[in-house]
Order: sequence, then C-alpha cells, then structure tokens
Amino acid sequence: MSTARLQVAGDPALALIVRIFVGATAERWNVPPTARDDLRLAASELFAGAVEAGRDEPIAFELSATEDGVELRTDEVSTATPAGLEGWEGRFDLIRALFPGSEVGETVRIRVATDG
Amino acid sequence: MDLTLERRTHGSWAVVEVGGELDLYTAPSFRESVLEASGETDPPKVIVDFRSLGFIDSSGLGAIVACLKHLRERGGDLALAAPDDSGLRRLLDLTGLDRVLTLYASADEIPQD
Repeated sequence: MSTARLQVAGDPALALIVRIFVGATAERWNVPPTARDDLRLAASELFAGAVEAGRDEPIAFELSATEDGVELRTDEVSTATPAGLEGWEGRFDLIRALFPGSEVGETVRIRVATDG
Repeated sequence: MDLTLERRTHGSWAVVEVGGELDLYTAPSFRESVLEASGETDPPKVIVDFRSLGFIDSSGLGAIVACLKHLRERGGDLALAAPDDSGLRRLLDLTGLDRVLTLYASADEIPQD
C-alpha cells in the first residue's frame, strides 16, 4: 500500500496547496476525474473547517492507495460553518453528500474507487 | 494567481467576472470586489460571471450569500452566471442553495431591467 501525506499550517493561503496535493496524488493513483474533483472539494472543506475553528496544530492529509481504491484521511476535523452560511447544516453534510459511504466524525475517511 | 476579478458593465448591471479559485483565502477579495462594483449602479445590481471559475467551496458560497444579503438589504440584487456543467452549479445543488440563488447560463441571459 502506498501512502502520501501532507502536513500544513492553518494558513488560509495554503488551501490551494492542499487541493493540489490531493488532486495530483489522486490523479497519479488513477482516481477518475469527477471523483478527483470531489476529493479536492472535500479536502478544501476539511482544511477550511480546521482553519476557521482556530486550530493551532498543523493539519495533516493522508492519501492511501489500496487494492481497489484510494482513501483520504484527516484527523481532528471541525464542523465550523462558513461565514455567510449561518444556518446551513455544515461542511460534514456536504462531504456526506459527495461521498455517501464516508466516515465523518473526529476522523474523516473518504474512499473512492480507481480506474482499472 | 489564486483569483482574478475583472469588472465591466452590462446594461444597468455592474459585472464582476471571476476566474481562478474561490475559497477561504480568496473569498474576502471576491466580497470586496462585488461590494465595490455595487456602488456603480443605483440600486446596486451586480452580475457575478463565473464562467472562468476553476474551483469553489462552501467558503466561496458563503461569500456569495453575504453579497446577496448586502445588496438586497439596499434594494438591489445579485445575479449569477455559470455554465450548466460548472462546479458552482453542482455545489449549489448539493447544499440546497440552488433554491435561494438564481443562476443563468451566461451574463447575456440576465434581463437588463
């Protein structure tokens, strides 16, 4: 099993780096384009939630390639609601909508199938 | 560059054309540009043209909703233009905000009045 890990400070400017990391790794491991875009969106939501919650420690994203797919994992995530969307049910619901089989809690695990 | 913002007019509307990525980091610049553009018309009416947008997350959606509230409180309006297959449309659908925000396929489809 291959694993790629990115650890970044909670600086909003680094959201782009998180998405590049997730998108490029998923592409290398043959995740189809639509699922890749959804993974980038999920990672962006998880990163933004951690930043908005004021997390002091670096935020880590880990991608693992398994026999039948790729898993994105991050720990100690937050349910913070974006400014302007007060009353919206949150980033977790969006991730569940994107990936109905995902584990969403203090640790988030999202699994996607790969091509071939 | 993370985000590009270009302004023009379309009849009685101010237009902000957005390119690049709209997220937690770039949302404040987006909000500032839309609110600046809203000062160009009376009542404040702004079209945000997302045809060149590469990425948006819920932080970007939050900025759009905040601009919409600001303009409507002042008797104005905010209209959005984005292609049918855009990430923005998908995100609005997933979040249920497609019931709140009206999207046009292009800025040219938005009524002038």
